[in-house]
Amino acid sequence: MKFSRKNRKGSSPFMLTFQRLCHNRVAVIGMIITLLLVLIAIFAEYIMPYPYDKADFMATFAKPSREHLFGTDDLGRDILSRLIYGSRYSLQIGIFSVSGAMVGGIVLGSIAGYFGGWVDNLIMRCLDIFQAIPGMVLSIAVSAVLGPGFGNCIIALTISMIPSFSRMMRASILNVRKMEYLEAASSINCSSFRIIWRHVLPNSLSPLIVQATMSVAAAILIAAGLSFIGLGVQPPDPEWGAMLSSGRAYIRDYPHLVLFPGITIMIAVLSLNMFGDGLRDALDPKLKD
Amino acid sequence: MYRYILKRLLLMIPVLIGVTILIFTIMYFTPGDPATQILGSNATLEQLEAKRQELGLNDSYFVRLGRYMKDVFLHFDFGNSYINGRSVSKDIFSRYPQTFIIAFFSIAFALLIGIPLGVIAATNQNKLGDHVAMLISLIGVSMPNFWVGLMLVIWFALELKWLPATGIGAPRYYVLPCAACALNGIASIARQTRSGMLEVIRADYIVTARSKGQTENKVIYRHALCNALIPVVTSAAGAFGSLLGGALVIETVFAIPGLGTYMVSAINNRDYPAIQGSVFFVALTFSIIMLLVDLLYAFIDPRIKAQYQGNARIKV
Repeated sequence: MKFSRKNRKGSSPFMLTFQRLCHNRVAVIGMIITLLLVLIAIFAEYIMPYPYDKADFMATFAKPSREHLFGTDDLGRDILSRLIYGSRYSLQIGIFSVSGAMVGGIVLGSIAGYFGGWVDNLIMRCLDIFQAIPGMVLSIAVSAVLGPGFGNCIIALTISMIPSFSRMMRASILNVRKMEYLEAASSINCSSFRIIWRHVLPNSLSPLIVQATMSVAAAILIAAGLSFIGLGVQPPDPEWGAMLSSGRAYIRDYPHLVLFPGITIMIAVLSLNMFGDGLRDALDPKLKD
Repeated sequence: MYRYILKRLLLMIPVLIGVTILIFTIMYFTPGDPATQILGSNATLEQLEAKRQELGLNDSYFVRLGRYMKDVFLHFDFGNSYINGRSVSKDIFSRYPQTFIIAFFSIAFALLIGIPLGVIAATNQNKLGDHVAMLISLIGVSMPNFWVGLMLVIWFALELKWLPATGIGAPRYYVLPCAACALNGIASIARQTRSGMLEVIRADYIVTARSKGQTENKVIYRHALCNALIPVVTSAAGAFGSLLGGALVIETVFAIPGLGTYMVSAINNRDYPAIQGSVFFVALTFSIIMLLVDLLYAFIDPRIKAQYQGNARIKV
C-alpha cells in the first residue's frame, strides 16, 4: 500500500477516510439519503400518515392528492404509508442477507486463502459450482425450495452472495499473505485464527466494506425481483417489489400504483450505490486524481 | 491454443456435474410428495404407493441421484413434468429461444452503447460529459429492470401505442423487453469501461503513443481501449449472467412464454423436474458464455496466448 497523504497527528484511518468521503459531494448525498432511509425505517410507525394496512373502500385508486400524496391502491390503502413501512422489509433483507453473506464469505475465503492447498481447491471448486448459476436464478431456485416469505428470502440471497464475498476475501488474503508482518506474527507463535482475525482481516477490510455496501443495493434489487414474481415477501405485506407486483394489474388505468414503488426502490438503491462509489474512492485514493 | 481450449472444456464438465448434484440435492430435501402432487389429494394410499414405485421415489438418495445424472448426461432427459406429464427437455427447448433472444440482444445493446459511453466519460474525466454519462449509468444500475419494463409498457405501449405490450411474434415484440433488460447492462459496462480506461490512460505506453505524434483518436481506441477491454469483457460475462436472470423476471412483465415464465409456473406448482431442468439450462448457458469469454481473452490478450503457444516449457 502506498501512503501519499501527509501524516497528521491523531487522525485515524477511519477519520481520514471519512474526511476524504466528505469532499465527494455525490457520496455525501448518497450517505445522507441512506441514513434518512434507515431513520424512516426505524421510525416508520410515527412517520406514516395512515396505518399501512388500513383499507378505505371509499377512496380506492385515488390519484395523488393532498390527503394521499402518492395516491391509494386497489383497496384504498395509502401508498406513501405502505412505502414508508415497506422500507423496513427492503432494508432488513438487504442488511441481514449481506451480513450473513459477509460472515460466510469471510470464513470460507479466509480458510481457502490462508491454508491454501487442497482445502483451497475444494472450497473454490464448490464455489465455482455455485457461481455457474447466476445470482438471480440461484435465489429463485433456493426460494422455490424454501417457499416464499421474508426469512426465506434473506436465506436465498445470503446463499447466492456468499461465493463473491469468499472470492474477494480469498484474493485479499493472498495479497497480504506474503507480507512480513504475517511472518513476524507467526514467528511469535500466533495461532492461525489470531493471525487471520487480528492481522489479515483488518488489512483486507476496505474492499470488503465497499463490496458490502454495493451488495446491499444489489440485494434490495434482487429481493424486489423475487417478490415481484411471487417468491419473496407476499402481497399483503407492503414490500416494495410485492407492491409493484400487485399494482401491475392496474397499470393501464392507474400507473401511479407502480410508479411510486419503483421510484422508491430506485432512490434506495441509487443512494447506496453513490455511497459505495464514494467509499471506494475514499478507501483507495490512488484511483482518484 | 488448442490445449487451452481443451483444458477449459474439460474444466466445464465437473462444474456442470456439480450443478446437477446441487440442484438435485436441494430439490431432494424439499418437503412435499410428488406422488400426491401428480394424483391429487383424492388418490388412495395404494395408488400413491404405486406411483411412488413407478417414479422410483422409494429408492435411496444415491440411487435416485445416479439415475438422474445418467438421464441428464447420457440422454439429455430431465424427466417428465409432475403436472402435465410432458417431457421437460422438450418444453424447455421450445421456450428457451425466447429467453436467449432477449438476453443476447440485451448484452449486444449493452456493449454497443455501454463501451462508447464509458470511453466518453473517461476521456472527459471530471468534465460535464463524464458527470452526465456517469449519472445516467448510476441511475441505470439502480433501477429494477422489471420496473423499467413496466414503465416502458405504460409509455410506449399504452400511451403512445407504438409497440405491443405483451406477447411474442414479430421482432417488434422484443424491442421493449430487450430495452428494459439491457439498461442495467449498459450502465454497468459503461462504469467498468470508464474505470478500466482511467487505469490505462496514465500508462507509459499511452504517453509514448502521444509523444510520437499519434492522433488522439488512435491513442484512445487502439492503445487505451484495447488494453482497457479485458476487465470490461470480464464484467460483460458477469453482466450476461445477471441479464439472463433479469430476462427471466422481465418475461413475467411482458407475458413472454420463455424459461422465466416456465420456471415461475413450475415453482408455483412445485413441479421439481421442470425447476431442475430450467436451472440446469441456465447454468449450462452461463458456463458456455464463460468459456467463450475465456477463449476471447486469449484472442484479445496476446500475453495469455503466448502462455499456451506450443512450447512445453511453460507448464499448463
